Amino acid sequence: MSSVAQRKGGFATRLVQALALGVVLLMMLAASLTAPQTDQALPVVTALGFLLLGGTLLSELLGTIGLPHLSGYLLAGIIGGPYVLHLVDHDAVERLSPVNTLAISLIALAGGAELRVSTLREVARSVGYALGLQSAVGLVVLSGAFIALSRYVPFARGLSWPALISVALLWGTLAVCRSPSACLGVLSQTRAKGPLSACSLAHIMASDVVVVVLMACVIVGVRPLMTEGGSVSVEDLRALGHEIVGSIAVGTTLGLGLAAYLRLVGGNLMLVLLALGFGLTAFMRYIHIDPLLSFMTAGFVVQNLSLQGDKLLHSVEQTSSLVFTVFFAIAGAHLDVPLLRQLWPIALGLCSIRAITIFGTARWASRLAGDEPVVRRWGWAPLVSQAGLTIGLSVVIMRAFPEFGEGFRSLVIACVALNEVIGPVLFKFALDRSGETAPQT
Amino acid sequence: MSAIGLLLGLLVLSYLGGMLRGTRAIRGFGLPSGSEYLCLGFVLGAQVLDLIPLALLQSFRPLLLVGAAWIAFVEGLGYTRVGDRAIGLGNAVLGVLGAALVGASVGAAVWFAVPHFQAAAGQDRILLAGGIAVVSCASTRQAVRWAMLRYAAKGPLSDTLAAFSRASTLVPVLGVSLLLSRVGEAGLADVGLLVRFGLTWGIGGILGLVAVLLIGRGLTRDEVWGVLVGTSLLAIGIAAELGLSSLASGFALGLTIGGLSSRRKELLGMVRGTERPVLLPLAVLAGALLNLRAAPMLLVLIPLVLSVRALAELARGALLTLVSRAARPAGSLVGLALMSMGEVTLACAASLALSLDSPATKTVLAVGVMGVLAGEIVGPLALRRALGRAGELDAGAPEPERLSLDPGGNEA
Repeated sequence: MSSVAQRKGGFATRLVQALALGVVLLMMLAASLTAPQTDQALPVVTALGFLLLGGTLLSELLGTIGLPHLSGYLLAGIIGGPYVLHLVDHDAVERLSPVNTLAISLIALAGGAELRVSTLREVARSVGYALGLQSAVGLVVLSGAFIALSRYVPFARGLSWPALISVALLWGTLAVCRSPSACLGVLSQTRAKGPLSACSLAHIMASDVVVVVLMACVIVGVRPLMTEGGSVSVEDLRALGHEIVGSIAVGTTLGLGLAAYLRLVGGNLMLVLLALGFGLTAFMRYIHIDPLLSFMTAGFVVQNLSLQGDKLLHSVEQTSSLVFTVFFAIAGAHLDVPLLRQLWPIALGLCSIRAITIFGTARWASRLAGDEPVVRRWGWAPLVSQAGLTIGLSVVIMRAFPEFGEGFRSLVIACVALNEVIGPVLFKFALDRSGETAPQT
Repeated sequence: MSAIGLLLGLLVLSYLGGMLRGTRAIRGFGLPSGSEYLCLGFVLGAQVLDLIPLALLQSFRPLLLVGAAWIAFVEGLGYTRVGDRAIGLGNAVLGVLGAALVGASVGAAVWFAVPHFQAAAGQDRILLAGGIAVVSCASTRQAVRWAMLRYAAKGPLSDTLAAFSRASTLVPVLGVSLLLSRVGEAGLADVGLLVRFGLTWGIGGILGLVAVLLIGRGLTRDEVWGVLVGTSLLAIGIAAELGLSSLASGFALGLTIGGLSSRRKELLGMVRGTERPVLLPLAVLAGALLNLRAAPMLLVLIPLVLSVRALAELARGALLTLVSRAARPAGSLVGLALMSMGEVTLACAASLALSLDSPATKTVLAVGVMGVLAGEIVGPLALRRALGRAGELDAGAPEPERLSLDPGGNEA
């Protein structure tokens, strides 16, 4: 495929891509105006095709101005989604949710497999300081920021002080959340190698676990403040412990199984990954095991306890290229544009404070850890992105606290929308400027 | 069985299909058309064990439509060639005309026979006659390939039959698109048949042009996959939403890319590996779709169709011996050698049954499946006999370039 891999990025190529995108959009528009909508399942096929093709084309076009592919995928989803051109409707977006399940399992598997013990040892000090400070300072500062801005937040206006502090703590915890998918998406596109890439990946993967634990603890802690007669339930913490230990145990078993398969059979790995992504995820959810943590552990085990890590990474990369395109395009289509239009001032304020906090804390942590200059300068950039995990946790909060959960979730979605669009651009910019991006990407 | 259970089962079948892709595995076991998987589907389906109920099958309808159209796409992409050789205009015309002759004979027999057994309204009669003609006219190229591998067949007759089989796939695809343009329920209700027919092929053609332009501009392998899968899904989805044949749009897409792209060989190498992993689950689901109780007149139609087809094939064989020097030593038996049907027939039958929910299309599916099974018995035997008469059996190891094989002996 060397000839196919050979890249040409001239004006003519971009013109052809833009024309192709125009043709595709016109065909979609014509079809959506003419088709009778008698079968709800068929538009899913068209939507999938559009998101895939539109995402691929837009990522190429936006690549001209240095934006990451991920931004192109997101933009394709936003433009074609239910809030702008309505080429892909709400129902189709919902029906495509199994792609998210698959993508998250692949992201976690790849994320775990990227974490080599040798690299972790090198960046342990840096990640330790960064994770500790980002979590602690982020939680405090962003909770404080929420309280300070609460008069502009519709659902927080009438809350009592204890309730306001509780909501602020929940907000602060969510603000600590990062996006492994965005991190891996950008790293996979740029094929970046170096201290910034290694630190970012290790930090973001580890922060997943920290955030999940932190969120469970905060929910348990604030419940008595929110609910009259409520008390701290140790049962919740026990369940959390069971979930974490269980996830690691299942992930280790899965990792050993995968390593054995790769060693003994090795073929048709794409289908094996699809089966794991769909089937095993459903099974894990059924037995209350966290698929993200399990797959991450599995990837880590394959990478560090066998010689099959590179083979796994290569296969995941092959499988995930199309899945990621659709995953991020769906995320774009999910983006609630009217809600963002309504909440953008407060969302922008909260996101700006979050970004400044991340920047300041990253600099502080780097100085304490004695990081290399490149990490000291750009270590904050990969931490801005937020995506699916944050929204997933906001749903958990909505279910736990229905009295304000709906409004809380809307604000989270508005903030995630901004961070999701800006974060990957910042990270790619940082990788480009730090010289870690591989040539010809 | 739950949806996730069925999905996992299908993935296992795809896995098996991927393993069977290797020619060494095909040499060891497996039938040319993969009809054993049809039978498996029938046993698992609502008629026997009911492990795949019809309601669950309905939720997999888009997946089935995509699978059938993807097979047509791969066929279209490699339509003009067998292995590294072009099929040639003469062989193409003979292959298409031969298949059209067989299809027309079977269709005419059904058209005139149906009113004697059941009062069929205009549309049902068209669907029955047209649909059965469509699922009775193609020959599978896999049969010739299978004989080449199993019996080490090599020579001009093998090449000619491979070319005829390849060329014949155009006929059922054209037939399906015409049928759905004529009787399609949804979509462009006020538009004429020719416009609907043109749109079916136009959607595939335009998106094929888009794909050719994009692929020619140096995309990475992942991006090429994005373009191929994206354009395929778009063509399939738009055609299906408009009530047109997604299968024909997929074929047109493949044909356009295969005809115009300078990277046809690379692209074919990429997608050919997906053919069997898609075909096996499709075969199982098509088997499960079979509903003999809802398909009237099967007891009459199956013997009628099979006997008319056999006669038409013998006639085609006789005509072939007149016009093709390679076919002469085998005699009219060469026609029966083309009775093996496979992936395209299956895709057409499933596509019709999925696009139009009527007893007629259920009958077409049932007749198509029976035709595939009967072809499995008659075709390879006749093929072996014909090749034996032509002195082309045990002619040495197959040449990879004739079969699209990689140096390891696996299908490229």
